[in-house]
Amino acid sequence: MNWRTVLTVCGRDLRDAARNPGALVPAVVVPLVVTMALPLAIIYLPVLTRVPLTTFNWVAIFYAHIPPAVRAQLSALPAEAVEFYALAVYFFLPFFMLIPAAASTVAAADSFAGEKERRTLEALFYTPATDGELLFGKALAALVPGLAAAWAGLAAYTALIDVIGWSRYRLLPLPNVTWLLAGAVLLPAMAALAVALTVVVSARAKTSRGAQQVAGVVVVPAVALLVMQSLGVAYMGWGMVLLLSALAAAGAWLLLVLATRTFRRENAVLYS
Amino acid sequence: MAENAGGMDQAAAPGARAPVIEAQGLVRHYGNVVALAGLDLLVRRGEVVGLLGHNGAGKTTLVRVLGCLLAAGAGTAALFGLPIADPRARVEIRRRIGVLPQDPGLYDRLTAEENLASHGRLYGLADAHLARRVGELLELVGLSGERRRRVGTFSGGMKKRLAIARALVNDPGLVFLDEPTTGLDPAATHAMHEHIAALAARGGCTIVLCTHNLAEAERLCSRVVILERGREVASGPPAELERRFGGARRAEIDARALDAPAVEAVRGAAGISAVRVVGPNQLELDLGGDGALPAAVAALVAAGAEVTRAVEVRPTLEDVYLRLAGGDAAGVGDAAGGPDTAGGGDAAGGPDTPGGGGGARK
Repeated sequence: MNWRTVLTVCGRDLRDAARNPGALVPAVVVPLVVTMALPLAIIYLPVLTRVPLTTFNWVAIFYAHIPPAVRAQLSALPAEAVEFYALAVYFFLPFFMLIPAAASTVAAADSFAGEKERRTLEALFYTPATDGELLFGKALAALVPGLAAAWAGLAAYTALIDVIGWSRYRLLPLPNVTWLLAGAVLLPAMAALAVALTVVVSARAKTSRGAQQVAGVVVVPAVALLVMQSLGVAYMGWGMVLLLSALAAAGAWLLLVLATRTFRRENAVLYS
Repeated sequence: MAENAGGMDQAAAPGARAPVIEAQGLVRHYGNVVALAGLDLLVRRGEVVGLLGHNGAGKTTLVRVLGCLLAAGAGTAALFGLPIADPRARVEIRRRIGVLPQDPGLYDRLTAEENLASHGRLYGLADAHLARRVGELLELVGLSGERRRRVGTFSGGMKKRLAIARALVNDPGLVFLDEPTTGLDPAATHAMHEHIAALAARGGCTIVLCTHNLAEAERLCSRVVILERGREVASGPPAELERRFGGARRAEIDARALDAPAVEAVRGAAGISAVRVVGPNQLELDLGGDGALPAAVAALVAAGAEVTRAVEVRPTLEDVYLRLAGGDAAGVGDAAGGPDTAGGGDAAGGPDTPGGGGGARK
């Protein structure tokens, strides 16, 4: 593997994506909604207006299903801060899985299926870059925006929660071990899964939009986790973060192996 | 093939230029559709070879097979002596060729300079050398003033010129230009011809030019290969093909007082094989030899006609093309649909019928 070639492919795709508003919007809007708009609406406004969070039915359900071990941990907190802490630290984590999934899916679809659409692949395929270098470079380029957005979102959310927590309860809930682990392994693994799935889908999709639509299923685990957490079936502790990371990484690896083995320059040109 | 078996033998002859492309029996199918039907091709260093043929004749498929993008179903080919079937050799071949695809395929959101530089890095060119090379190439194609402009704002002609520059970024020994002037206006076409001619004149670079434009081939190519249904039907220098396959030598005569006895007098002149009256004062003649036209003029004058114009009309490459490959141009390839869209399919060809000693094969 020639890393200069990989980085050249990656750099060109990143530069191209940076000038593409269509690819930038999901990378900016989703993190903004997840890290700012939702916490402000769900946590800060009730806190500000002194409305108990459990007034909201879904929060009451979520709160009622908190496992005993977590509840014991929460009991050490001031009573008025428990609901805020539970929501801020546990409830919101699955939302962050959506960020790399959404942003990387768009970036990867634009990079692979989008190049087919724009007919830029043929000239690329006449260069001495190997299939592996092309795939890896493009996958890396698709990974970067999603991951950057997720990490930036994580930092912004941490700051927001700590500002609310400190100003109201003299608490700094984040970062904790679970969130640090999420940033270090879960979000990269989710971004890699989104990219790998999109690469596989893009090999068969003719347009980037078509690839996005199919590869969009990668957000399903995040949504499922939200629902499961609300029903008390699963909880976003560090064990769950590691388990999900391992599953996402394994899925990404399998899909990338599949993509590398099934990738044919010929097909990418003929069926575009 | 472009040069026949005898031509292959010349490869070993003292002083013969080294072969750059040696292909034998190349076959490529798209499903049931035959795109290449046992094609042979020999191209030597420094040649500018034109591939002529209608849509679906196999030109683009040939470029893609030789450019190591599509696999051949059968047959062998080597570029610079490196076999295209060998995966390791393919990387080296790609390092030494440049290709202008039918669609320029540039990155619209990048500038002209960024397009060339990022492409050049894929060939492992050092940054300092690459910066110099990019500058030279933009100068060559007349785009140095637009180097920092995004390609999406370029006209079709500018994009084609930039794509040619991109094909040259690695200083290739062999360049494939697939329909470089398709879709360009006359001025842009003329400019493109100038660029290709300049490239050919630099020497050391072998060019394979796919085109529908016969005047372009006549002007730029040292040799043309006419393809039909994935097979070669003729090859040679344009002038030689015109002489051999352009049909009878013809002449046009304008004359006053061109009555029936005058026409009969021309019919009886030495070396005149056919006479056609194409207007009240105009004749078209098929000439049988060098002295035929003066003899015809003399016969007309003797019969009382006043000759105002007499010119021999040389056959053109278009005459050759229409004679050899133009008969069923309509619909060839289009019938194939998918493969043609993919850039090089063909309607199903018949069995390969390799010809004999070069020139035309049919």
